[in-house]
Amino acid sequence: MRSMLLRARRLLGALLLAALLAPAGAMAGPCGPYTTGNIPDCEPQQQAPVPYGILETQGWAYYCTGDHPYFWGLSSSYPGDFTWDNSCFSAIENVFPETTPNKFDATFTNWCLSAENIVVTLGCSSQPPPGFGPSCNETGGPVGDPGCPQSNISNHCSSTNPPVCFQTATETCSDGTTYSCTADQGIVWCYKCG
Amino acid sequence: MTRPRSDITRGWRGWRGLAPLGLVLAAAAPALASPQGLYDEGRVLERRGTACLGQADCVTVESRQARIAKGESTILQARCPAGHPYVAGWDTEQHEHLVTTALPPKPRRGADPDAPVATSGRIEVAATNNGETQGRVTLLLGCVASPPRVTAVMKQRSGVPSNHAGFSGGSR
Repeated sequence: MRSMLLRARRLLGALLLAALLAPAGAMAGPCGPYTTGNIPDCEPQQQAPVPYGILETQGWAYYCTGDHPYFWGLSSSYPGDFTWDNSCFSAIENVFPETTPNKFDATFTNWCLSAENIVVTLGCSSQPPPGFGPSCNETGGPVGDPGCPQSNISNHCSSTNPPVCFQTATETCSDGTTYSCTADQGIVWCYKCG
Repeated sequence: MTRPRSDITRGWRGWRGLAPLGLVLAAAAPALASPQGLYDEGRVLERRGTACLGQADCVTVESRQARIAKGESTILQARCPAGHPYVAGWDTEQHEHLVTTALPPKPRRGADPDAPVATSGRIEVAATNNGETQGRVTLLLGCVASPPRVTAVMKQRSGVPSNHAGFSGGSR
């Protein structure tokens, strides 16, 4: 009887530990659902397969791109804003090198005794994470480039070779309407500021 | 002569205090017994094709093999040829006990920090020896004719310490 109680206590302890170690934003995919709320206008962006040898560790920077260039990630309280397809791997997100809002930085290790590929998928948003971007109270959905005069032009480039860049700007039209715009790989889209 | 029972018990209790130390020593025994340390310093991480990953018309430039002594670091350099002047990616062939890390391009003096980073056709990779013996590394640089559109950049490569992980296979 006593041993059964002991076993039950151990099981309960293990379950509690597992619950504590599980990420707060437990999710089904890179775009959630999250307990911390959903990432707005999030789309999964699947990256190219990367080959690893037996028992090998690699550090990679992955970038959101196109009309969804923003990675919210751990620094925005969205742990697990990424997934990978191969159970041979462990992953550690490196928050401190994530110095641009499109960047996901992580260290992956292949623990299997065979060469393996990994495919990483990022949850990418069309809207910048909290605390980033021009001071604009965005209203409505994304619209095309209104073509008005630009100000506050900022280029955001990675410190890598090859570099990965995108540009943000404010556009002010003659009727006083302002737009917060993002350009990435030849695509420009804007949000109207309220 | 028979010792009183209380003495025997006291004696056993005295030794029992060493039990945690014994457990620690038992757990550490495999590592202590290993003459090679953490790393299988004969294992080579082969080139994996990350220099030209997903790039068409990509050529690979290979650096000279560098030898790095125990506890030492060095910086490897490679440059793209004129016909393919843009860096697409990099790869290595290196011993398990080395760590290689791509260094960020140096900003040009007086350049606007917000301006797009000018792409140079060269790359620098730092290699550090974490093992007990000399290690060798060759840097491979992938080069393309026009600025590549990439969404992933390798920053670092290293091996899991095979001896620590209980691994005994692989190429030598």
